[in-house]
Amino acid sequence: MRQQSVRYASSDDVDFVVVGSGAAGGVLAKELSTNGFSVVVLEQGPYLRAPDFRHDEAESYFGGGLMGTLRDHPHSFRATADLEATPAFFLPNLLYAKVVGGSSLHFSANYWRFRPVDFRERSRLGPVSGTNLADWPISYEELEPYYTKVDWEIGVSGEPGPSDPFRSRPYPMPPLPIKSSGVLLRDGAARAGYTSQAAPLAILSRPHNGRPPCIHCGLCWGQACEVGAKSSTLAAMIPIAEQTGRCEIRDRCAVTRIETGTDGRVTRVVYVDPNGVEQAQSARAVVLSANGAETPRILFLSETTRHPDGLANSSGMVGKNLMFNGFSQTWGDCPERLNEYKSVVATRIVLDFYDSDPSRGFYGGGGIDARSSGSPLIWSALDNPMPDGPTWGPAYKAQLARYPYMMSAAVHTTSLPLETNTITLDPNLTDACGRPGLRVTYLDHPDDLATLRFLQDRTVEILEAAGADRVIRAAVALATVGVHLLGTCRMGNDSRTSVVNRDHRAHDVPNLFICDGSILVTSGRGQPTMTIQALAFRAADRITALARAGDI
Amino acid sequence: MPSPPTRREFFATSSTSLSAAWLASLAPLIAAAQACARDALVSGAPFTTFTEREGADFEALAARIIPTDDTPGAREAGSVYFADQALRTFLSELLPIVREGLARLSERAATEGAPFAELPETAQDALVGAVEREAPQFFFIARSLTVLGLVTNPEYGGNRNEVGWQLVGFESLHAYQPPFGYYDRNEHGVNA
Repeated sequence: MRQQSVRYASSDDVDFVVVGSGAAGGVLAKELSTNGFSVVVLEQGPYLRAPDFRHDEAESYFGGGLMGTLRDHPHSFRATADLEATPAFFLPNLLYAKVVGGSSLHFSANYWRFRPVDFRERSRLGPVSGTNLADWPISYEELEPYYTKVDWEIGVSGEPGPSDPFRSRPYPMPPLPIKSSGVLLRDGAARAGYTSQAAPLAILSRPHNGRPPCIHCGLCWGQACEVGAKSSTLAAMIPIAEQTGRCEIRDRCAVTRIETGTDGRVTRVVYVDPNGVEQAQSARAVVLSANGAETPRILFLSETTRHPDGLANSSGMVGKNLMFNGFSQTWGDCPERLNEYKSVVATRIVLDFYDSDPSRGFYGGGGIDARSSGSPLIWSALDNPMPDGPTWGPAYKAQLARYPYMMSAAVHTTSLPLETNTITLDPNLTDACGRPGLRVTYLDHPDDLATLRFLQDRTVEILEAAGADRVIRAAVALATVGVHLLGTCRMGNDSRTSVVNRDHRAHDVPNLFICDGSILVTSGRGQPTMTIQALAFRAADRITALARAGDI
Repeated sequence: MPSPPTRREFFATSSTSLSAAWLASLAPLIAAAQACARDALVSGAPFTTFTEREGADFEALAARIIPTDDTPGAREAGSVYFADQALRTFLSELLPIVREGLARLSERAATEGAPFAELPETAQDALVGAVEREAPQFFFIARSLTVLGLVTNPEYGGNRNEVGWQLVGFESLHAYQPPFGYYDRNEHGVNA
């Protein structure tokens, strides 16, 4: 049952408005409200509940299910700023859910921790020419207690791997049952001389915190979990926040700008309510957790004469250093049936190539997982044809019939932060609530492509060693679709080169905090949500301490 | 142990608890599509978006992309009815491209002396190859609609009798238990 939520008046000066209810916003809402603060969460998407989640891929991908439609959320893409941006058509360039719980509802829940090296690559490796590669102002050791909080409070299944970083507490539950793709990756990796481990997943393998375990329905990828076994913030955080009686979740409320007073402090958050009427919520402080694309949009739209290039943007870094993470895959067509459409996406991973190795001649690292070649709809309809394979007719039909025999070894890699990879406002597009559409400008760094090719070569070795009949590489191509939206409000000690400080406070605005993928300084190895949530738990501690000290 | 419900059975029982928010945002569209699909099934298939000519030509094109041989193809799956519904509802932005592409296909077929749907299969195949080379966007969309008409839930008008799911080897249950496939058959212990 939905909790009877507290209701605040827009004139109430609540302690915090949290913009966004996803991976980060859901954690902040729960932490701040349980710490005794009054909280209003503004979420642009609807408040759906478990019974709303149908196993319907068409609805999820085209019917506006979790992500909304391109008509309501128009955006455009270009590789470089000298090109005209092309509006997204049929398939989006930015993939994220617009619902209470955000993309934690539709993610595939791979929960790799970052490693100590992720936080200090710049000082360890030196500069990478033409990039903004930088150290973080915080360390893995500082974040470790919060990774552990994610494990236990969000609910992560797994078991330690041979090269895992230090953990202060074991996983709360064992990994999900290995699938056929996991067996083949494990055995192929061993034969090729590599090591594998169980994939840590934010999906319950056992009952935990009153939630049931996974039923292996097979539709994690892009769909929400109706049993609540996937550890979305909707399942794990929002109910606790509402039970405090201090947190109001206001759904279908799209923020259009943040108002600041003559002293430069945030006063109110302006939004469009479900009836299309503009409203404004007063707050003592604001936490932006809207994601790496939406957060910069709100900051740009909040420009004033005091903040002419957008709120909190004296550094000029808002919207820049966008990082998607690299992704590529290799398909294995195997002699026997795998039925990868069943159960979770990935059950086994190889992290032997996590670290950047200067002897390779380029910056970058990543991981490999064994996964389904795609859901029935996506694989069959959209990812086909295989490169150089048949495109229609009897041979094409025969290829579709290979679906249960296919797996993918997918590669997840670093993206370098580049000032030229950006989120900006599209002057030609307007969304359903009157905001300018998002314009993505993105061109992979050559080292990012080299990293993808290097890792893909390893997947070919592994799949061949695993005994696949056919090993088919997907082309390593320039990214045009962003699923991870990172880096656009980076954290740093220097207000000239970063947007927020180590407490997530905007350098320019004392009562504005940012906590989502946008504050990431480096991209990690392709599975950022675990780190975004560890940061959110830590940010809540920092913000609480500042508030209690009267320093907000 | 009784077998788990199929996805369709599960949602038939759970759909009474749909929330107001969900209904407001999406359900009318889905319900309309489902109602039209049911009508199409029982009434001998009037099209709601395609003209009769467009529908016949799209169905013939879909049948060359996923032909019928010893197993059913796009024609038996009713991909054309999926496309007819989708192009009126949630993929309506694609309709101009599909309509234009079908018009060009019709013109080409006319030079062969018959509507595309009535040409011999060899002549149809020659035209499909030409369309793929010369109108790649239309071809990609037509193929996507054809295959979506195989693999989407039958409520959308295609995948009739689940022949599309049978083609791709997909068993539609609401939940599964290990072992999931051949290679993990010995991984889960005696009680799995």
